[in-house]
Amino acid sequence: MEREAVTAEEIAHSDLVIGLPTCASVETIGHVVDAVRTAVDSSQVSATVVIRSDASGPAPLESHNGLKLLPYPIPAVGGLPGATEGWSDAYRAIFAVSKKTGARATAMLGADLEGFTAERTERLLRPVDDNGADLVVASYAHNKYEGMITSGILYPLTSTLYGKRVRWPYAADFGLSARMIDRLSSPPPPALAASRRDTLIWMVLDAIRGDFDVCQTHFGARVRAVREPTDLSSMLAHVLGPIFLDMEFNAAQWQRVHSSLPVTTFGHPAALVEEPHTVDVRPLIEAFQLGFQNLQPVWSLVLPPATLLDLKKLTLAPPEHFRIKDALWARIIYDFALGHRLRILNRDHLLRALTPLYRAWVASYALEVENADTEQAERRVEQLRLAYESERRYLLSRWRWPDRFSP
Amino acid sequence: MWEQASQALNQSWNRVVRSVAGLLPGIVALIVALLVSFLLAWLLAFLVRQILRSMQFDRRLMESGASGLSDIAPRNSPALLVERAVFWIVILMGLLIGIAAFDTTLTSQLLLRIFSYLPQVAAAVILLIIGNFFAHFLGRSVLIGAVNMNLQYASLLSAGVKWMVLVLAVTMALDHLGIGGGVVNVAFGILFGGIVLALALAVGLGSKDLVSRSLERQSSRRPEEVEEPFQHL
Repeated sequence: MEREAVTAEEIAHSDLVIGLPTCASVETIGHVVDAVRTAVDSSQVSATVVIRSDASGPAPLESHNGLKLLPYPIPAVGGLPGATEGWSDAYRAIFAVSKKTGARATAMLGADLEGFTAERTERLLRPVDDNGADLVVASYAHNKYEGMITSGILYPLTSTLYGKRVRWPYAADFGLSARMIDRLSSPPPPALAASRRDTLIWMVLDAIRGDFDVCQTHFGARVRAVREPTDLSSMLAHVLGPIFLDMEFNAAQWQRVHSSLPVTTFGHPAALVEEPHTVDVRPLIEAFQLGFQNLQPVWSLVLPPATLLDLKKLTLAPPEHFRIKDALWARIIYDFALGHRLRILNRDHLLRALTPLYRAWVASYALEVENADTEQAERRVEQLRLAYESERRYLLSRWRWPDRFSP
Repeated sequence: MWEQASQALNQSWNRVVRSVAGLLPGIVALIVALLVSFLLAWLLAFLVRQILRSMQFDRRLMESGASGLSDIAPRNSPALLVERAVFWIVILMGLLIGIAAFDTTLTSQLLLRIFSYLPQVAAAVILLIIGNFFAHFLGRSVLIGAVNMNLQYASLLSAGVKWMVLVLAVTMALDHLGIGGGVVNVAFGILFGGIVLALALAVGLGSKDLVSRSLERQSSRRPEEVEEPFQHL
């Protein structure tokens, strides 16, 4: 094996690029190389694996049967040691390599190394290479208590707004075509630049809105590179802020959507062994009651009196009958989106004030699916999505005539 | 003798009449200035009222969190407060201009002192407005943060922060106006020092068992721990 001291600029062409923004060191790359060689028939195509490196100068390459390894100065993402930049900066650095090398398909794997397998790489690349897809989003196998924000807000909201049902819009694993890379590499509108720095959902939203072929692929269980932060209110603010900004910026587009359609899904869902465990929702209900007691003046700036009345009734409900109706939850999210747009109060305050309401929804959902399996829980999420779509008219009315419905 | 007394009285009377006659132009000028300023004040107040109504000033101020202004405003309307402030400021300016027409040393010095004091008044008003805004902003931040941390005393904490910032703003404004001198600073220092000392004693000595139980309750019942089976993203 010859070691070639070349830079990314000197790579003439690469058919495929596999990007690993969370790879920590070159020493552990052997596993990655083996997996990629298994996934990619490197005798037929040339592939480049882009990994994060601290080298600031020209990066040495290992070339093995058409597979090139490129340690590249990708910024460290949040949560990892030495993190200085956001996820978007890391992904954009790899997009730059894809563009320079003229790759026809790029796989981005945001998981930790233990989640990197040949099968996963193939699942991201094959729909792009063989079926002409522009964006392939990973669809994770999950138990009924995973991805609560995704199930309760992101999936139904993005489906309703943009008309395409991508189950995991907040994925970190993607397959992208050259056309998609071009689109995502372009600088964002100045109003949205700051909000896009630390999240990746904007990639899915841009693809859904544009004339791109978006599909999903079953990806197995999610392996997280970065441990989920425990501060729920920060998480909600971090996730929902960019989406609400996107809603405001692209209002003309989503207001023309009338219904949602499923996207093509490749692969077969992985069977996940559901471990039975009892969930105590009383602290969540108490947190909601405390929120209602103290935050009612704040919520009254955003929510109409009818919604506040429903919430008041909910505070009096016994734990076993604690249920938030899907329509009510959808309207709450829409009201907060409108409040975010109108800047009724400081946007960070607004998003964090949603936390007790979100906890109430989690408690309600947990009680409903307590004895359900994963499939039944997934049907429950689909019911919620339908409720979001039914309340779409409410969103449109409030969005177009906010003063008429002003609390 | 009677003639001398009569002459003296006549001279005194003439002096008084001359003095009053000398003041008459000033008085007329004062009256005219007041009338003009009254007219101008009414016009400006009308304009300000129309502008603030079209801006929905009261609603926007309430939503921005500066609700403290509504509490002190007449009929709980900050717009009405601004309108009346504009009205009376213009009347005051007219009065001062009218007083300047007397053209005496006393009035000149008085006017000079009033006008030199006006910038400090303006700065104090700005301090109060900014202080009020920050008090409500910080109060709301603390309230939302404390509720999300499941602190039962979130409202108390929020009110405490809000009033501390307001007291600070008022103290700074009074200091800027030169009212109270060192008394205000000393009182402020005693108040804050007392609060901090009381908290330290409460936590360290008097309420340590209560705080300890509360902290144990918080750590054992935090929803984040119960939410272990939940992964949110």
